[in-house]
Amino acid sequence: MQADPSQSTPTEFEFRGSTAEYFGIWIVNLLLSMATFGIYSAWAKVRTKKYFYQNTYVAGRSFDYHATGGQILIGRLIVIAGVIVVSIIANIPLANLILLPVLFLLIPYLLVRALRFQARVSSWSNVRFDFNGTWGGAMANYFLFPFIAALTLYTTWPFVTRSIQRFHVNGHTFGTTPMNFDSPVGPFYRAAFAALAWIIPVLVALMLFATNVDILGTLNSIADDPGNMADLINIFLIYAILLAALVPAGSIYHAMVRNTVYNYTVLGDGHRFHSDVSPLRLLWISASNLVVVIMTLGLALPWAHVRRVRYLADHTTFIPSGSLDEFVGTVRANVSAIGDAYGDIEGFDIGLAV
Amino acid sequence: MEEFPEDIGAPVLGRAYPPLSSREIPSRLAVGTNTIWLIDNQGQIQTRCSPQELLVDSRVGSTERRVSFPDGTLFLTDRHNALEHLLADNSRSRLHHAEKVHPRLILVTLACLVGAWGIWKYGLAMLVSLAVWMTPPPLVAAIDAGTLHALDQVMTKPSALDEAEKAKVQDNFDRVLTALGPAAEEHNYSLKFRDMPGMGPNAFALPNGTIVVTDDLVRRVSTDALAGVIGHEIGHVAEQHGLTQIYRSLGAFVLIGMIAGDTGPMLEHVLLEGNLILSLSYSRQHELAADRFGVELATRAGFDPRGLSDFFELLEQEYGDQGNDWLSTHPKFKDRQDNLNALTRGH
Repeated sequence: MQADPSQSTPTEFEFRGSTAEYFGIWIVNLLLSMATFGIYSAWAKVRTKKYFYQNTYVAGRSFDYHATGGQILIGRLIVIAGVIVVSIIANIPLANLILLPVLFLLIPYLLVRALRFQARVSSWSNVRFDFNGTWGGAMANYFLFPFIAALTLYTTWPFVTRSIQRFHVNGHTFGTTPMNFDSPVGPFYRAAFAALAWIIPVLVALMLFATNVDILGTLNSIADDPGNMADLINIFLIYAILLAALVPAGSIYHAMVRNTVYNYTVLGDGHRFHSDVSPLRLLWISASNLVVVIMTLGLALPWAHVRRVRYLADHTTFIPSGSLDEFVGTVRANVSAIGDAYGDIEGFDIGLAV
Repeated sequence: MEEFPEDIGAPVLGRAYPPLSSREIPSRLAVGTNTIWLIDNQGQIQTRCSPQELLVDSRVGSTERRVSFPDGTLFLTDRHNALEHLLADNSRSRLHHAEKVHPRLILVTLACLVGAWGIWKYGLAMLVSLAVWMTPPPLVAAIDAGTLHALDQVMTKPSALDEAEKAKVQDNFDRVLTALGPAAEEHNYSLKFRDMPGMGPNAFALPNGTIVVTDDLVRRVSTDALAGVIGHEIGHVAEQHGLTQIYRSLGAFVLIGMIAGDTGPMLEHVLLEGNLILSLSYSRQHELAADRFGVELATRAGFDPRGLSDFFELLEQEYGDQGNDWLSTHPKFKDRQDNLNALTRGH
């Protein structure tokens, strides 16, 4: 259980949780959330996070999650009120002239707050993380750089990805220990080409199929049977193929970017990481998870979640360069959970990137 | 050095971390009447506190239990039973016992499935009605004024109808509105005339009761059809379709985000896009509901119930039914006629 602190042998990330145990936690969470009209979902989130963090070990020491249900609930109530007001006001056309710029400025702010909240309620071996990224940094990375990349027809997108990763990793500290990520842009271009290598054949297939659709369409209009059903199937097939082109390509890109980020990140004086996630394997896990979850009416979600987390942990390694007993934490004020709650609703998850 | 009692029962072994430090110290917990000690392997006291000050985290699965001392020292142990025995308190693991794998979980699962279905079927609608009811009227009035103003800037021209034509339609409108009875007071119903080139014979309603008819509509359809169309638009307002749709898609969005939580990268796409397709289906249901409402209202006001149906026939001949049913905000003209025919046959 105990890692010899002076040794610098690589040590795997481990996930020690189990599907059966998590299923119990998840289903009770779900029942209590529904029985309380969603109020309990804030506590449910904390319990789930604790389960995953506390079961993730590096060098025999686990992570922990410290947010409280009350904090999360308050954040959520504020964000829901905000979302309702915004979506009503958005129906007044002229109000949009004011609303859109305000939202535009607000989103990077919420993102930074979410990252800071998330970092400060996360710890490993009793030392908490922190995030010092700025609003300006978020603005540049999420609005300005993508805009510039669009001007180059997205050929410079890997540079944007690298910059975003720098913003994330370099903004974090582990206690007082800085984290640093920098890498050549080559691996990011390789990730982009790998994604394209998936998209192009699938799109070609789509075009071949689309030609067939026209023939089918005419055949159907001849038959006086309302061509409705066939049209419907065709539209769904085209949509499914588009999804089959873009979503897996995104998954491949993310997996390769993840490997690069871990492999080039240094913690403090020389603690390093290694990630050897296989993009296709991860894609298979996500796709088969999706099918199983749908077939089981969602009941297999805990299994799917554990399966994915375990795969990622099994393919992540920590390479310490010295004692793990020397990290020092700092006392930080709480940040409100507004950004975090906004992240929950918008569906971006910025938890532990394990 | 103080005296601390030997452990009663199994020792609570674990590891401790000093405040703000990652230094790991193998330790054990010892409990006296008024004091709790943390003792390392050499028998040294690391820290102590009174039993009331000790913070024991709730038990989550079989993860190590977190025990915090007031000075910030953290103690982790996987000896759950020994710990609870020593502290004589097992209240922090009640939830854990409920979550354990047990036949009871089958009941919990069934309750969840029924609950999810119920929320989808009734709960969401109730929440939406509540939200509609709570929306402040000045805000709804602002939506009307703002939308009309914006349309006038970009899309519409002043009506080219002469006063006699307008008066006739206004009279038509007043008669239909009177048939609504006292419910007419619930919204600020008003009729506006606009010339909207390219929109054809058309009408629309804003949530506070502003109803706009195009010049094309007034010129080309019969009085009975016009009454049906006006009734249809009044139906949208009276049954609050606009706000309902805004809240409905928002509610589903929030529920998915909150209750389902992190669903994984691909399922999220499926859920959110599925929600969009569903919201279109609500939009089509609303159109049919407004059709029925409109015809009934026009009939009560003394107009021919077939007017609206005739109007759809005109539209179908002129524009045809295009597009796909599932991906449309409006049902096909044919479906709308069938819907109305079923209604008038009942008369």
